Amino acid sequence: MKITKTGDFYVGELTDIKLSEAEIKRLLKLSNEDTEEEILDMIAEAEKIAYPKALFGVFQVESSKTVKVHGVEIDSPFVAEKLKGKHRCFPYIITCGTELNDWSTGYSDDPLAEYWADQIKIVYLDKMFKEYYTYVKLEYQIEKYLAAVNPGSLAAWPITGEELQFNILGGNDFIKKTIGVYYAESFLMIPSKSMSGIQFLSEEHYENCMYCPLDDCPNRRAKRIQ
Amino acid sequence: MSITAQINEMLQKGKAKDVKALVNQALEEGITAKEILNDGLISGMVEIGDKFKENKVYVPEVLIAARAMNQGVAILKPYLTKEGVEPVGKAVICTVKGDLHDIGKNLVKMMMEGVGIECIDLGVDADGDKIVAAVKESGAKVVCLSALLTTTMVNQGEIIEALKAAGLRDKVKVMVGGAPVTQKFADEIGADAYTSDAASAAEVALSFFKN
Repeated sequence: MKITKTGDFYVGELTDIKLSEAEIKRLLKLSNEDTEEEILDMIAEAEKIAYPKALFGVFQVESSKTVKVHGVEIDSPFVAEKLKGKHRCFPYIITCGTELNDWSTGYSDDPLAEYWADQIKIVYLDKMFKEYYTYVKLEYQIEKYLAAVNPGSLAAWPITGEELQFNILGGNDFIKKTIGVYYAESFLMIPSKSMSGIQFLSEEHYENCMYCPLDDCPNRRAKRIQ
Repeated sequence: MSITAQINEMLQKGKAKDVKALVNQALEEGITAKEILNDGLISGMVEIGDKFKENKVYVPEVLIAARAMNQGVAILKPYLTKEGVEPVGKAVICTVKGDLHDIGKNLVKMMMEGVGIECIDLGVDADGDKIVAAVKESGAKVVCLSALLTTTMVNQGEIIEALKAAGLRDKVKVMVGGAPVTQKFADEIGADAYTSDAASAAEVALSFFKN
């Protein structure tokens, strides 16, 4: 991952990314022998243009009467509670990139191809997140848990929390200009295959999933705390 | 195995080429387009829907089967017109204003088409005016509204209000769905039905046309 510093923030970029055999195999499971070639062609197209990006910061958590990160007061009691007393935190926004997002709109007339395009974008988003996560863990020598809170993942910090998240990282316009991501009136991030959150050091394993009522969620990473 | 049963089987396997070949063969054998549609394509899609509900197949299998169905239907279309076969009914379907997620909506559309309902797909980010205009123009009796965000599900209620204001509310059944939507929310906004999956949505929509 190429890292550059922009003001108080870091920008991570991935280019010339070939999908691994395992990733291609996983995508091929979404097709059958009649359609396999089609999805392979789409993967080849995506590989040529994919340019996933990350914007993140490494900030001290200011805990007094209120909790502040990068000068922004944390107005969510849930997030403030999680960050309070922590030495530093890592707010981030990761995206599959506008390039893949624009490419996928070319498939919007075909629901099956559109679904494949979505899954391909998710693979690139995951790749970018893993790169970012590994970088932060190594660069900042994090040996214990790197937990995260994410806007929209819990009722305690709903999707409207994107405003706070984006403000910490320089605001909607700056982020759009820097990595192409912005939030719409509905607080939906565009490109939609983007993720955001604030990571922090934790002595214990913490996942938002612990407070999420969707027991059958395929992405569940931890048991629910009743 | 009858040729319509073979069409059913190939459709469920998502074998579009085989479906097309079998549909052509069935027509050559003198089977009516209506029979091919009902006993081959629609019955296959209904079975796929049931399997989807039971978690025996997943989204890609449904979409692959639906594509095979569409290719079969495309061959049958002129014959269906000649035979005077009408769709079960018309439904307007969309993802509501502010929301750009359309895979769930597409899945519902495919399932509804799979049971013989004609869908007028308004795509994503559709507001009340667009839906009212589509209902007026098409005479659709069912409106399906999808929302994937807590911030956009409220727009399902606004669309119901727009239908009321246009004097259309008692002429259409409104169905709502999407990850954050619940039966309780559907009741609060005055929707006629909430369904948690695409196959159930098609079943409920069908029941509205049959009753």
